[in-house]
Amino acid sequence: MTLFQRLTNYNWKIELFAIAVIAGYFTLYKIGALYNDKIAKTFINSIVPTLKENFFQVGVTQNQLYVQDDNQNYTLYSTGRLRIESFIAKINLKPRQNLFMWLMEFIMSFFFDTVPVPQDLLTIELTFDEDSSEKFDNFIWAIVTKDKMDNYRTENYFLSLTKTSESPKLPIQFVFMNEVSEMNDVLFTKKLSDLLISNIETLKFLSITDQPIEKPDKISELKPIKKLILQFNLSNSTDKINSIKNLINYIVNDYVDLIATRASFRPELTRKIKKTRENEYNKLKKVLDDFKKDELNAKKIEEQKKLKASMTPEEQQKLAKKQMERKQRKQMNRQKVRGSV
Amino acid sequence: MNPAVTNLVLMLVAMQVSKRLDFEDPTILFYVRLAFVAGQSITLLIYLYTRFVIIKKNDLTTLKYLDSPNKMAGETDSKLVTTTVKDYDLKQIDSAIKGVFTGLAMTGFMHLYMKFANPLVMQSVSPIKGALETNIVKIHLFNTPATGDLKRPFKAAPSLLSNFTGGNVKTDKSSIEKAETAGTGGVKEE
Repeated sequence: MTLFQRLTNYNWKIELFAIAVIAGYFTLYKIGALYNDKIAKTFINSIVPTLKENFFQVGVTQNQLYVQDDNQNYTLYSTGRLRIESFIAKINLKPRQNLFMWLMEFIMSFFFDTVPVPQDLLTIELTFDEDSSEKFDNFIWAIVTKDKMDNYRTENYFLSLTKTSESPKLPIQFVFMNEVSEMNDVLFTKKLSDLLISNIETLKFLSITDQPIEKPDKISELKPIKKLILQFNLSNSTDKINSIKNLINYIVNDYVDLIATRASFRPELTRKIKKTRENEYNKLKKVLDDFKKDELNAKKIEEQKKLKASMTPEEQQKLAKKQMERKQRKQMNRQKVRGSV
Repeated sequence: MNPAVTNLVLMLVAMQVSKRLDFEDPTILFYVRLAFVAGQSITLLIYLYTRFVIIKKNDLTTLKYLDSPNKMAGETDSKLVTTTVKDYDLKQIDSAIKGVFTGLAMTGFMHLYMKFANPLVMQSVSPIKGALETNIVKIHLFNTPATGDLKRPFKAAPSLLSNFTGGNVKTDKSSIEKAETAGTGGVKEE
């Protein structure tokens, strides 16, 4: 048989089926990836004008606007504005490019608490520069959606340092999480209140903090770094993107300046805030000291073991006797003390 | 009547019934299986409907309580939970739904792998009874006012296990205030 005859006689069914499956998978991947790309780009394009007005450099480098890690993670960066060191917007979308993963994550998130429900998230971090940070107080103040609010408190260290309180000032869907409730008078503006109402479905939390998101495990991590953190539910709808954009506009244009100039409180209020930080410092210090002590003890025991191993049996006996005597003496002393009291 | 007592009665009755049934007969086996599937579906439907009602009511009243520490996992401090009535109810109903699937897996294993048909009889009635006796279903399906035993957060029924899993939830103001600013969040995952 010639090669051509072999090819024509061969049953190509399995191969055709395989190609069809791969083509189908690829199409689904492409559709999902394009959809994600569209969501990310619509949002990025909507806020770039505001950023250009405010920041010297918009984009990760001079000629690249955003970074795309994969088909669901995007990052936008800006820098060069008075009072602000950096603006970072992270977009984490549902794994639409991989239907199986999406479905798996969705099912697993129902059965296991550790797997998060897949969702389209937008997190914006504005870091204040050192000069302006020094000019206003350390504090944590946040407005958080009530839905799943416990999750925010467990995910974010700084929120777990605050008290949760409802307020008639806020729409019913939100609560304040702050250290001192008097802060609301200064930080909650009329404009912010209007923007909240239009962002009921999109805003997850708005927070100003000097403490980190992750629980510190080194003393150096307790150093206050002032940030304004926003989290939104991102979607493709023009209305929602618009209301998100309006809130970001207000924050970037006016609100950060308002915080930097007005957020200095009476000493009575800041006392409590300082106390919380001291407590956290002491707690962390105790943990670290305990850890060091344990390590030292372990080292001592190890050394003793080594010493014992290098000794002759007679010497070992002597040492054991000595230790026994020391123990007995200690006990006697203790009894004496108890007897005298 | 006490649900524990009625459960016992139900179990005895089911045992007697399954003793008299001939599971070798394919028709009887078919109907037993059908009853089981129907029972599980009805249970699931009750829960799903309750879930739907909870979401529709959208009760955003804030609820704070101290969850008992899980001593099995080596926790010592009780943790503050700040949630809403809606989220609390959803958590309850979701764990009930998870329970249905766990029961399904267990009975499925016993029946399909170990070839026991007796649990099917019991499992076609008791989950429905259990579902109708759940606090959360009582509140939303039968509109029983959420007071007394039905006051959120629900108290766990006292049992031998409660010594190991930790005590009850706490709702007093002073312990809540103490735990609220404890800084327990944001623990780095290894």
